Amino acid sequence: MAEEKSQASSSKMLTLKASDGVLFEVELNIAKEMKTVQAYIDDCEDIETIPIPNVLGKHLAIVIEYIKKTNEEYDAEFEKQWNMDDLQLLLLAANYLNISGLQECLCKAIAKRIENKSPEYVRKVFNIENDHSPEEEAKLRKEYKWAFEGVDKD
Amino acid sequence: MDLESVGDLAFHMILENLKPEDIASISCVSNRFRSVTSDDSLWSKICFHELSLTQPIDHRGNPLPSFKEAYRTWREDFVMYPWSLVKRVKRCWDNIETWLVNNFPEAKETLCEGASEAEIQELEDVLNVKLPLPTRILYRLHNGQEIEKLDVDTSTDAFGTSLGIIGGYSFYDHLVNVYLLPISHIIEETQQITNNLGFLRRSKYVLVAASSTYSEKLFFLNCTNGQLYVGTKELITNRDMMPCVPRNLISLDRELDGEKIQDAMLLWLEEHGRRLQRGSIKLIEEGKAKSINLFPEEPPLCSTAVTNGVQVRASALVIPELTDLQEGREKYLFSYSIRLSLQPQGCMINGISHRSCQLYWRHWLIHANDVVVSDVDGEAVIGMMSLQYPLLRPGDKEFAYQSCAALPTSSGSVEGSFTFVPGRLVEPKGDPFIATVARFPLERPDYIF
Repeated sequence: MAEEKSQASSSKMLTLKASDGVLFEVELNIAKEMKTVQAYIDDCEDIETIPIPNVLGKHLAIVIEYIKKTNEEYDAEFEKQWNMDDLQLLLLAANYLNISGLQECLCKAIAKRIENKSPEYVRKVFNIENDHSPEEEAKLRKEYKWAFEGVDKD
Repeated sequence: MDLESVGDLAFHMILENLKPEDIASISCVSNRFRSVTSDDSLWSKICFHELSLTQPIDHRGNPLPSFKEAYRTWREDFVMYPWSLVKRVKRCWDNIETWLVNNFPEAKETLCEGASEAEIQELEDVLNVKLPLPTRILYRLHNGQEIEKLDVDTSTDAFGTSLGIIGGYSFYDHLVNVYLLPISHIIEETQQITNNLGFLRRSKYVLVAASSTYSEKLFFLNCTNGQLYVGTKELITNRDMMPCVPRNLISLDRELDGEKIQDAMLLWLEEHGRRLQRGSIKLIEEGKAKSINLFPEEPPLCSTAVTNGVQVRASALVIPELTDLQEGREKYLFSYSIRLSLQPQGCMINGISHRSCQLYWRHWLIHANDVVVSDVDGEAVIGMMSLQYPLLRPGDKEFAYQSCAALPTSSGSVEGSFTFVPGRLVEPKGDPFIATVARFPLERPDYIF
């Protein structure tokens, strides 16, 4: 992967335009890691500026940085820097841009933040409303009672 | 800013990074969470990863409607045990069962389905013991073997059964085949034995495995220290038993991380499973009977030598039930198994290949530690009933026979040679030659089966 990112291959530059108008100039081989962008290029070869309507400049910058630097060490540190809101938005961005490595990294990060946590905490953190009735919730807790009790949480 | 926009695929990916407990717990968060966490492909992966299940079944093999149901049933059925220990014990049985399915399905048939908590409680109440946790789980998964034990009084057949999953050996008239007792037998036979041997009852021993044959070999689990012991020749007169598993591995502390709790029964069965999988011990077929043979098949315990095309493989076993720890010179009894065969090219001497050769003399040098204790020569080999002069031909099955030797120490070795003539004794085709038996160890092992 490192070789792909070296200057040896074509250094054609591309411009990506975030939803808030911020522009980013990136090398072609970096942009190609975003499969959505790749599809765009395949369709219209001569394009120079590609609109990214769903992603804020702030997050697009992070995504581009990720693609340039990704490796095991970087990934391990990467996920610690962002709060839950950013993680979710970055995941939405990675989803839209179709960058599989980043998607996996972010999913792991989000999972890490909700493991061993109660349903109440998860609702708060994702800003989700509980649309279960009390009976439905009681039924679910009973169905999954093994997860709430037991000898140890190894 | 809401997870609604995150596709099901990404959601699924998040869930795949969570433990089953967390997936279950967050199913309560909202309707969408409940829906995504019910996806059975998720639970199918969990069932495979944690329990090696490829079908949604409970621990008795009963089918269930979904993997999610199956996982829940397993967790609920074993909620009284540390889950990581349950997984470890299941892996232990799976290892043994896989080998049985592939090599010895007749024995697999005899393995009973798991005992209930009530049956285990009954054993504990009647015998006044507390079984160590790993052994309890072992019995929850399989309640011993259903074997028709030899009824010594009425049976004329000393052979018992050959289906014991621990296996055995035979030499001269001593034949052993060890099986795992189901709880009902454990209760009955432990009571019988402890009526005669009070110390067993006081010290919380239960009989867990035994030979089904006329020759007696008894394995006792000590419920206090978690060790497994095998009775020696002086069990009744002197309470002598030998430990079957390295003592330093036994760890019963319930404060430990679940899967680190290990008693001798679990360690013993795990080691047995490993040996079967590796091929260190194998199945043998004698006539119609198949059985697990405990004589080692692999170096360093089994030696191999080839001379003029004659291949000799040799290995030994300690025989605890005939070992007398109080004795001086003849303390440890070892049995050794010699396997003879002629390689495909025949008996090669001076460039000529002979189609057969026959044994007529043996020579053994037996060492205890490094001191020679026995130097014997003799005609033929002593098989089951009489002297035998094995005739070897290329392509024939190995000729195997067993004999025994007693040592004053727990460590020694045997080496020797056989004298063969090419052709046959009644019609020799050349001069006799010596076929080496490479030195093989006589060692009291870490694990005794």
